[in-house]
Amino acid sequence: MGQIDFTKFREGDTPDATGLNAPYDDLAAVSIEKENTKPNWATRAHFDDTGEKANELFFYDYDGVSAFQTTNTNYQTITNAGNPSRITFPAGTSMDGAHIIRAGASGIIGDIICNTDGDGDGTQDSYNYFSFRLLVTYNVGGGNLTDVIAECGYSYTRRSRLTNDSTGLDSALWWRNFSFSGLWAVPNNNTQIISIELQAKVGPNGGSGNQLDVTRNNINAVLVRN
Amino acid sequence: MSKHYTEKPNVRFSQVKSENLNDNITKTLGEVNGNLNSNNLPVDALTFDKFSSPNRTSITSNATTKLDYEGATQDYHSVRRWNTFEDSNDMWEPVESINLQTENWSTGWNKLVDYGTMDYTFLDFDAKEGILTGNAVIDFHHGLDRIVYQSDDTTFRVFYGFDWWTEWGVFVNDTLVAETSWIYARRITCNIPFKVPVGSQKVKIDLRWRAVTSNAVGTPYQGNPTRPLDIFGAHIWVRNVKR
Repeated sequence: MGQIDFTKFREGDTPDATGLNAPYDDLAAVSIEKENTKPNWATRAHFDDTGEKANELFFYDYDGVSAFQTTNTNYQTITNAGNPSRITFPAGTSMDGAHIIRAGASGIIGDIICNTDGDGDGTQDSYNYFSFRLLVTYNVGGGNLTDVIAECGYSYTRRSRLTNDSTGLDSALWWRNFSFSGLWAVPNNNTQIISIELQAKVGPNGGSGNQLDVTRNNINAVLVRN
Repeated sequence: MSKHYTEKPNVRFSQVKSENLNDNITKTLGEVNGNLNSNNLPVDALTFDKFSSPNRTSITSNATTKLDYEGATQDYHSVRRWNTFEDSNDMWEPVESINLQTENWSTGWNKLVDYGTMDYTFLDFDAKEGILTGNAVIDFHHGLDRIVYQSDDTTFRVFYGFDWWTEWGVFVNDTLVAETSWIYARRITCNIPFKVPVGSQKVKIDLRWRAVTSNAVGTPYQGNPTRPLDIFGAHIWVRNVKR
């Protein structure tokens, strides 16, 4: 109920206690709803800016020059001068099943080494590629679980996946950036968000030892609650 | 008006008139019946737990995942078709390959949704007045060809297509709002940020590409000519910040 009805007294009526109290009783019982308020009344000052937020931003940044190098064909967490590229959330960071996490990462691809970029006939597609992903670690009770928020791929050289001739090796593309982003749907109420980390791997390369090299990199994450 | 005081007080030993009763009560109720405003709610009174809970839906069909999220202060909308998510493939397998030698395409903007299984990779939703801010993420490969030239006695093997490029644009209601530069031959994932003001209206967001490529020259060349524009994944997500 948002509106309160009131029957006016007329000349000559004798108001009794019930009639006099009725509008005040109704007023005490009313649930304020949107039709009770005037349009355009709320201002930003009415929002409380302490405590839990509709959006919480977290950021990890490595701006040094130490290079992370890998020839591993399975995902490895990028390390920067011995420290993982990771956002670790404060203990007790909790989200509900209707919430989402928006995350992104970027960085610099440095002195990569490419010994093979495939033969261009479609059977060695993966030789020319490496990839990154953002991995979230969370807990819904029991052991920690992981899930992929976003993933992206790049090539060592300019060579196409399919070429007319299967010989040769193009020169590697050094010193460029990578950048990607994604959304992750939180699976359950009271999901504890533990961390988000940036990982990388190289494609199977026929034992030729293609190597990825990453220097500066960063992760951003927004916990979206409302 | 949001604050009021008794307008017609009843005075001791005076007659109580129905008019006085009516005016006082009507004024009190009139405030509650649609005139509450900022004077009735202190600043900093809207705490996080006063917001109604958000609604989220996520549906995967036609190998495309669509997510809609409606919160009190913002909405999110997302559409994604990605090799490792919707196709259960590894990172090295494209979800769609556009043969630039044989497919219909123009040197102007080409809609990604016009090609094969990418036909649902667009966002179509009812926006609320405010700002749209988002990202289009595209993982693609348009690379060099390797060809063989043969003259009378000599064979040349060369990479070909150093001047080929691809460009991607984000279109909101058919208006270009963000684009990459010319991207020369390679596989790359592009994160294309965009931001536009929006009213309470229907909004459609899609990705489009344009490219320069060419046919191999030299006679005869070896093998089958191919000019693939490989798509490994496309994802458009947008945040609707509501006023």
